[in-house]
Amino acid sequence: MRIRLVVLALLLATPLRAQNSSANDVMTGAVRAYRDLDFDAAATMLRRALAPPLASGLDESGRALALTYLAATEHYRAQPDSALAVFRRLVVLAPRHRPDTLIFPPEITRLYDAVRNSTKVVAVRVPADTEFNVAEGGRLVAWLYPSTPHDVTVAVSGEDGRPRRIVYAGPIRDSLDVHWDGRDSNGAYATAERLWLTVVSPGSREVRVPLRVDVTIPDTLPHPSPLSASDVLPERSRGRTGLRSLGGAALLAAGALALPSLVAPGERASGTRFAVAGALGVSGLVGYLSRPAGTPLPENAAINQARRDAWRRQVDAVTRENAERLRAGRVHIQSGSAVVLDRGAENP
Amino acid sequence: MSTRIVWLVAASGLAASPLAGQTGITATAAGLLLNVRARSEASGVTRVSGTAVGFEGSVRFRRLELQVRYAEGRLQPADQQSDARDLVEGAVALRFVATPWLSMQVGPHARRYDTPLGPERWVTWQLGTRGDVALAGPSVRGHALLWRGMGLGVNVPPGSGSTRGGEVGVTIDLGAPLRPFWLALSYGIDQAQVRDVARRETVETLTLTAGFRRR
Repeated sequence: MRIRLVVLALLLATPLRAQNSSANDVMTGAVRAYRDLDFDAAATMLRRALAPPLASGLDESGRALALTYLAATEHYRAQPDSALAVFRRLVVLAPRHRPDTLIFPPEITRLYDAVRNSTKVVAVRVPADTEFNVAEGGRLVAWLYPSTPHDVTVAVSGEDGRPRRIVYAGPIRDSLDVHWDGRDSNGAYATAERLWLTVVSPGSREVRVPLRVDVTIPDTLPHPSPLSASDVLPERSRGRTGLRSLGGAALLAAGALALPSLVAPGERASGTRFAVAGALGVSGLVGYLSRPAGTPLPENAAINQARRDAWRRQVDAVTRENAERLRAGRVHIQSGSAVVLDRGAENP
Repeated sequence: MSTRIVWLVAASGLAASPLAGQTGITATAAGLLLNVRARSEASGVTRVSGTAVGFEGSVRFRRLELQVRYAEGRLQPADQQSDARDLVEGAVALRFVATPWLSMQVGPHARRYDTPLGPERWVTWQLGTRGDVALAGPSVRGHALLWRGMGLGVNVPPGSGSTRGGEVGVTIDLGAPLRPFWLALSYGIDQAQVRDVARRETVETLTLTAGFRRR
């Protein structure tokens, strides 16, 4: 059983190793052919090295070097359109790449510079994982390197392509750092299933970096609803205020007089209840006469003020509590590999 | 008797002040002066009346209020046939303030008469509803209370029965500089009926209350 596993592992490993060495071997042969001025053979080998499956054996710098040799080869093969196309591909792949002037003559580097100046594209570098605490005001940092100075618009967009937040809009020269705090234009955390960091070079290309944002924030409390009209007492008496006092007093006075027959029917009650009924009647009369319509009601104003103050205290308490809860929140942003979309609006 | 009540009123007032000041609890303490008229109907009719003094105190926290009331006095006969009685009365009520004008209360109420034939106790649990209404601003308020007894216990002769009662009154909050003080005048009546015995007790009280309130 163990022997079978070892054999299987060797069978699987050998092609990968052979493939990797093949890409380097082909590159070595292509460079040798280029130096021997055998440009047709060099072009054939370079195209082979840049095409699958060998292309996966080259890293970004290896592919950039292969593209530079290929563009120079096409130039010397009198294929200027192919040379321009290859250099354009090189600029898109690695906007910061510059041909080695010890290897390539000035006519090649000048051609590359011309293509680079006319090809507006931005390389975007974003950390694979960014995690920060909400309270500490952390940011996702993206480093942008343009092929040539131009204006760019950096945004975080949803799956539908619509920007959720414009992070930067303006010129970019040598390089630019842009920061994003994880929030959309409304200040809420952008928690869509999939987001894109998009860098648009107007009229040319768009670079997209996939983002996944996970926000861990405790639930916040709802703010208390504002005081409604029914929560606030009238601060000036109306015509009914005095009548209500008088009516209430009359009702209570009648209740005092009728209480014995209600509680102890048939009993002959004493006259002490008349004292209370009289006091109630006088109180109601005073309330009626002292409260004509329009009279300020300071007691109601005080009650209203107390209710407003209590409501304000509740709002402040909820605000403080929510701020405290938000301080415990964390934002985790994962990024993927950049994708360049050619909008096809420029020519060298 | 009077000395003991004065001490009790003073003690409840002293206890109420720091409690209210620190916790937002509203506490009241008051002295009571009662005019009591009782009519007892058994084999004959007995009428007594007199004056009693006492105190009451309450503590309110949010919608719950606990009230304690105590009074004692001597009732003199109103006719030639009746005997004088000593009266001791106490009640505890737990009140739930549903709205500023409506509250429900429940609690025990006990009344004891010392007669030449021995002590006589009437104990019941009161369940009642009270309504409050402002009569002249917030400083003058009226109230009405109706309650019903949940069982009645009497010791002489041993028995049970039913009881019900009510109270109507007016309360005046005094203005500055006497702001925490208030006065109240109320009329109350209750009637107890002992089951299986032809006995009925009706008590009327006119109560003058003077107290102070701390928040």
